[in-house]
Amino acid sequence: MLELAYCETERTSIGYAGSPDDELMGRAGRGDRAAFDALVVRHGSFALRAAARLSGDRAAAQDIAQDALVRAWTGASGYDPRRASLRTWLYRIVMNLCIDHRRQSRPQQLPAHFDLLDPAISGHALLEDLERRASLGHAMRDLPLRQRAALDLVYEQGLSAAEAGRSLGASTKAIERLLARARQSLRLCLRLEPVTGGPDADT
Amino acid sequence: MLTLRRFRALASTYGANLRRWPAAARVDTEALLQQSARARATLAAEERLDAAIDLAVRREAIRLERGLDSAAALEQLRLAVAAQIRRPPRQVARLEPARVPVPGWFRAHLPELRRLGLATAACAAVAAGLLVGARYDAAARSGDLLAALSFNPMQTQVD
Repeated sequence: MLELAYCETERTSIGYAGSPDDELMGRAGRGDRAAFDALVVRHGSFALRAAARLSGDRAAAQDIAQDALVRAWTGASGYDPRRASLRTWLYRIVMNLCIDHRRQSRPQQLPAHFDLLDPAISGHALLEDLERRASLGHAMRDLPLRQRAALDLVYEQGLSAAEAGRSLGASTKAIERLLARARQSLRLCLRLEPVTGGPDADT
Repeated sequence: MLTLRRFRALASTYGANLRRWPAAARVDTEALLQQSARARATLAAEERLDAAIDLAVRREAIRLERGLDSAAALEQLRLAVAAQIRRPPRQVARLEPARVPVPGWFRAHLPELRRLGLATAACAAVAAGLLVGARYDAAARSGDLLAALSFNPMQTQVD
């Protein structure tokens, strides 16, 4: 029964493959499940990847992405394309769900030897390297979620601070603060010298 | 003109990759880098952190996203979402609070309106208390205690 219903959706959603997001969301807001299925096809992988990166929990990413898309369906009638693109809107839903998930979940143990090893590195250097990478990986996962999201949007997805701000519903200044704090946390983890001013001299 | 202080703040925020910097600052940044050895040293220090962050972000992405890009994962997601949205509206609506159409102006100013509403209610409560107190006080000064204590009209004062 489920498969038959799904096949029916699949046949008609193909017809929406070339329609823009705004039109599909408008149709979804009026109850058109085939239109929404076309959106799931288009943005489902994005939602999965975002859920995995932001939550730091690969196992939970499927559930988070599913919940995010169902929320997008129930909120489709209220979606305003003038305020944000669909991906931006969806990213924000995913992020909020990841915040909830992080509050509820317990810290995960780092799996042993998940990093690839370079056989050319000596034993001592290898241990230092492993410790540093493990601690940096931990530090990344321990970042507050909005800092992690800012890093993800600017470093991984290549957005500007202004664009990242629109994704997170924050100002450019707020994104800059998030990035600066995230970098400072990671700098401390790597025990790098901070970038400070002493007496400032313009030279 | 970009100061060294501002340059360092931007470097600690955006790192050494000038493509990430605000477009408005890039021209001045390049000019400062040509003139200032300190600025160049600052950028070099940030490069090391950049490399580590880039590597960590990529490793995390690989670790976390393994398999999620596959057609099977997307298909599983499609089926799950399709099953959920086919449920009767009252079941799906549990996931989201009911939406009441609200004009855009009200939606945009809702926090201020809430504060105004609370302030108005508080002022009304204070005003009511003052009014009751004033009427009680006025009745007591006029000697009309019975009027003030009208809830017990049968009680008389015994000398």
